[in-house]
Amino acid sequence: MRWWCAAQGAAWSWQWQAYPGVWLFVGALAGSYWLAAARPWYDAGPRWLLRKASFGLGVLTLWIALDWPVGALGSGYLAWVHMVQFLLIALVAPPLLLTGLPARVRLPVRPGVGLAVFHTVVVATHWPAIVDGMMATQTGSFAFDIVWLAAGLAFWAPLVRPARPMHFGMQAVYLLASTVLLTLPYIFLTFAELPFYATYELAPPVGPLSSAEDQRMAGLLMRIGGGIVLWTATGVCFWRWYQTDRDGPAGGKKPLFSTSR
Amino acid sequence: MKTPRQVRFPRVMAALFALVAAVAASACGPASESDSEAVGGGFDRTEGRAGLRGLELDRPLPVEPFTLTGIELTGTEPVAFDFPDDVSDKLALFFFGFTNCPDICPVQMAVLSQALSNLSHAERSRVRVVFASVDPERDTPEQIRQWLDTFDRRFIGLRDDLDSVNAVQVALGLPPSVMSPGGEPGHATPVVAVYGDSVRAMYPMGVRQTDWRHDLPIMISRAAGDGNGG
Repeated sequence: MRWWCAAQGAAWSWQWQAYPGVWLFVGALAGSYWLAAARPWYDAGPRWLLRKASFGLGVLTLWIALDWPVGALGSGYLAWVHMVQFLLIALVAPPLLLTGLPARVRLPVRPGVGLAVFHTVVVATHWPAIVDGMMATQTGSFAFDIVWLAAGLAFWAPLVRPARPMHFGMQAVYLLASTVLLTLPYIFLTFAELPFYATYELAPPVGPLSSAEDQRMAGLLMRIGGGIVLWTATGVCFWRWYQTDRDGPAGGKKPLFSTSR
Repeated sequence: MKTPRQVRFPRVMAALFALVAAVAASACGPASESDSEAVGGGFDRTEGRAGLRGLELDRPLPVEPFTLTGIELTGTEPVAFDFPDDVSDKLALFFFGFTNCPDICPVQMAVLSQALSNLSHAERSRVRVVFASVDPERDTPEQIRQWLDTFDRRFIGLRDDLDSVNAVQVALGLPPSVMSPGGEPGHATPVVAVYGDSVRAMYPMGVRQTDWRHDLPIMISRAAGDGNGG
C-alpha cells in the first residue's frame, strides 16, 4: 500500500486506492484545530462559527486535492490535474485555513517576503527536472504538497492575518503583481512546442488528451483558475475599501477576508 | 483588552522549509528502478557514435527480406507487407505490441506520433511506422486499425500468426513474445529503427519527443541517401 500519491508508471485504474498518509495529515490538521478550539484560552472572537466553517472548508479542499483520485491523477498521469492540485493547495486552501484562525492571531509575514516565497516556489515546483525527480517518489510528492501549502500560507498571510494590515490599495497591488508573475510559467506551459515533464509525457494515457494538449491545458488552468482566485480577492479588496470609506473614517487598513467588523 | 497574539511565522516558515528541503533532497531522484522507469529517468540521452540519442547498434544488423500480412490503411482488408520493398529509401520504425496493452504500447505510439507531427511534410513522407500485433488472437484487423488511427492514420498495422511475427522480431534483434500465465502477451518495448535494410538503433520506453526530434531528421536523411550512414 502507498501512503502518499506519487507517479507509478502503472496503467490508470478508476478502482479506489487508499492513501493513509493523506488521511493522517488531514486528520492531524483538523484534529489539532478541534483540540485547540476546545481549550479555554482559545478565543475565536466574533463570528466564530464562520471561522470554524472556513477552517473546515480549507481542510476539505486539501483533502480533495491530496487524496484519490485527484492526488493520484495529478501526481503521475495528467499535468492539468496537477495544476488543479496546485491551485487548491496553494491558492484556495490557505486563505480558508488562515481565516479560520482566531481573530487575535497575527502572522508577521512581510508582503515582500510572502510574494518572493510564493513565486520562487511556483517557479521551482514547475521546473521539469524538479517535477520529474520529486513526483517519482512518495516522499518527494509529499514534500511538493507541503511546500505548496507553506508557500500559499506565506502568500496569503500578509492579506488575511497581517501583523500590520496593508492599505487596501497595496493589497490590490500585491494581488495584481501575483497575477502578472503567474503569467511567466503560464507562457512556458501553454506555448511550449514539446512536453516539459517526462512524468506526464510518459504516463499511461488517461482520457483523450495528448501530452502536449495536457500541458497546454495545465497552462491555461494556471492562468484562468489562478486568475479567478486572485481577481476575486482583488474584487473583495476593492469592495472592502469602498465599505470602509463609506462606513467610517477613511484609513483603508484592514485585513482582507476579515470576519470581524 | 487582549493584545493580538503574534506567532513568529517567519521562523516557523524557515523551519518548515528547512525540513521540507531536507526531505526533498533525500527524495529528489527515483527511489527504485521501477520508479525510475515510471518517469523515464533511466534513459541515457548521451549521443552515440552515429550522433543518435537512441541505442545505436555497434554494427548495423542486416535484415533478410520477409513478408507479413498487413491491414490496409483505409480499411481492414488484408494486404501483404513486404520488407524491404514497402519501406525502401525510407526510415522504418517497427514496434511490436497489442491493442489492449494498458501502458507501454500506447505511450510509445503516442510519443512517436507526436514527434512525427513536428516533422515537415517532406520529412514525414520518408518515415513508415509499422506496428505488428503480438496478440493476433484478440487483436482483430478492425481493432488494430481503429487503435492505430487514434495515433496516426498513416501507421501501418500487421496481423499475422505469432510464430511469423516472432521470427521477424528475432530478425530485428528483439526477443520473441511469450504469453504470460495470465494470458497477457509479454513483449519487447523498444521501437526498432531500420534503414538501408539494416537495424540501426533501438528506442526503449523512456524515449521522449525531444529525443525523437533530435534523431528523426538524422535517420531520415541517411535513409534517403545511400542508407549506409551510421
